[in-house]
Amino acid sequence: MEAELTELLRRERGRVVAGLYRACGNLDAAEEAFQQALLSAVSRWPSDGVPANPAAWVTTVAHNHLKQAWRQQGVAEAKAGVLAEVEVFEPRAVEAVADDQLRLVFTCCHPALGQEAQVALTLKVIAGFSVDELSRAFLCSEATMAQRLVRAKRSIETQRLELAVPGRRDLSERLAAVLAVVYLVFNEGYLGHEGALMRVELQREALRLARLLTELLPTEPEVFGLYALMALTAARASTRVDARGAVVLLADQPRSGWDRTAIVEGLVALQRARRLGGGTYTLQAEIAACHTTAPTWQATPWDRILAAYDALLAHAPSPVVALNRAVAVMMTAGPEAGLAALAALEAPLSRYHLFFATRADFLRRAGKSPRHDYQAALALVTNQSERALLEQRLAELRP
Amino acid sequence: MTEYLIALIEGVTPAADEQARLMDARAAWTAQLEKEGALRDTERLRDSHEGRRVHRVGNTVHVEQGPFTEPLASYWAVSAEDLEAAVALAKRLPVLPGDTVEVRPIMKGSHDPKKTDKTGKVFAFEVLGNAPNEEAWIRLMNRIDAETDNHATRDFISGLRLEAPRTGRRLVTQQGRTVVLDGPFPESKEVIGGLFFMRLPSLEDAVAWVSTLAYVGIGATEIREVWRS
Repeated sequence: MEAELTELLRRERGRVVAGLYRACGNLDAAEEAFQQALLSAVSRWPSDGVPANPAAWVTTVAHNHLKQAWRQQGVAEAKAGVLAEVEVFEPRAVEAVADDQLRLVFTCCHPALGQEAQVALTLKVIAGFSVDELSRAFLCSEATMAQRLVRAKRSIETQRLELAVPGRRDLSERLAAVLAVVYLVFNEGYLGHEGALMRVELQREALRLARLLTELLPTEPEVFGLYALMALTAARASTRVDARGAVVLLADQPRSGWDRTAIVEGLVALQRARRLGGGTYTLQAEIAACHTTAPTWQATPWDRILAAYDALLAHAPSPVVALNRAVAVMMTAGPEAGLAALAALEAPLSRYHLFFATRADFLRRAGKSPRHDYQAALALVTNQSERALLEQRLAELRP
Repeated sequence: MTEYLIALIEGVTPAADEQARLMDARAAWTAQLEKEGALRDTERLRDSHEGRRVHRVGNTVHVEQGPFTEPLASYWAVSAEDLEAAVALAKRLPVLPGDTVEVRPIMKGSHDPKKTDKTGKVFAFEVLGNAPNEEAWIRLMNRIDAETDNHATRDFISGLRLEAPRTGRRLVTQQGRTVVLDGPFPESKEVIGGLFFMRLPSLEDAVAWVSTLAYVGIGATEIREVWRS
């Protein structure tokens, strides 16, 4: 019962808080009213039973808390119009609910806030993470995280950040910021610099947020591209480290352990992204799909992966993408061709451990000494399990 | 020209590479139907373990959680000259051994191929029923029709009613050969009699809505979210 309750409330949270935010225009008050309603639910549902429409129940109770709070603060009259509107709970049109949720998402990811604040606010307000959970996920003190949230909320109040959903003209730019936040949350969960505590939660939340966006913006190709990319990547998550926590390379991962449900989820979203005409997330999802649906490492369709990287580079040139493309070049045309593809990347990636780890691997395959590159990679790596793998490779070299 | 529902009932979950290949092949088949001007509507439904079945015994409404046996996976509404032509189209649908394809004439209804382009969740409601004979089946479906007509709301998207099960065909693939069987007979189990779609905020809203319908007396309604594919 309790797990079911938690899951249900987490699922409904965004919808209810979004409606409360619309009614009162204040994030703190909306969150507080939701918390109060949760307490009521936790104390009453176990004995009264879960209501037929839990979201409606929580919404009504939360609105009542909101009204009560206003009454106590003597602002009831000033907000009389709003009060009248929420007097009785009525099932609202799907569009109205979606509008509330979009408004909340776009406010939390407002460009004026800076990305750190966008991420923190999104996870706090929409996903319901506590300050303690957030500080553990982003490796800062609770005080720092609390401060970050207060500052972000104050910015929204004082700068009167636009509460409306952006119009068609601004949508793609504003949406790019939202998608970047979601992907950042996912990668924090997937790669996490250290500590595995919050990783699964962050990954799951990123997927949940992306799925919500697919419902709110069902004709935006990149929303589906990002959802596909994350689902296809998450499908492989459980085999990325072994029982002792050591990194397992894609070539050695047991493919039978990949999550079939997540793969189908990703493939269906990718199908729609393609049909709508996707962009960079969709191209990355194509690459993820090539890896995730290959029955064996040997059967990986490197030619298709190379073509997707070429398209990706043409779309959005980046040295990290070029580095990944070099791997596809090496797999289709051999280590010398791979090294040639890496040649121009040393300068822009001189602080990136994966550049040196990749070149070391190419050198080893070409029969040249990779020692210097392994050492350079080790000097830059921060993740413990990646470090262990590099050390092992270095130790395997003949003196 | 008559309209037919081609319903795919998936038997097994294929491996990832086969899944990807199958999805591409079905997308190509769908594109071909569209090119030929035969396609009216198509959707894929989310897995049945996420679905619900609502039925009523006396005054009590029962809500059953999936997975269900022989769940509808995808459907295509097509127009064809006659049943044989529709069966010929269905034979070209890429399937795996163990999959079943049903071809059923559509009695009446409406389509909205863009139903997933608007915000919110879209739910498919499968009207399931069984009856001892054809007259009883038709009486049952008439009652359901009247009920749902009365309840049509702003959230209603589209819906269709199928002819009696006897008028359909069932395609089963065995050892690489496709066998065409006569229509499923309602005596054996609950059979789909209609399909309609609504846009609602959540599965709970969908269950709550169905629970208010009086007809659920003899049959059941299976609620499945439509996949945005």
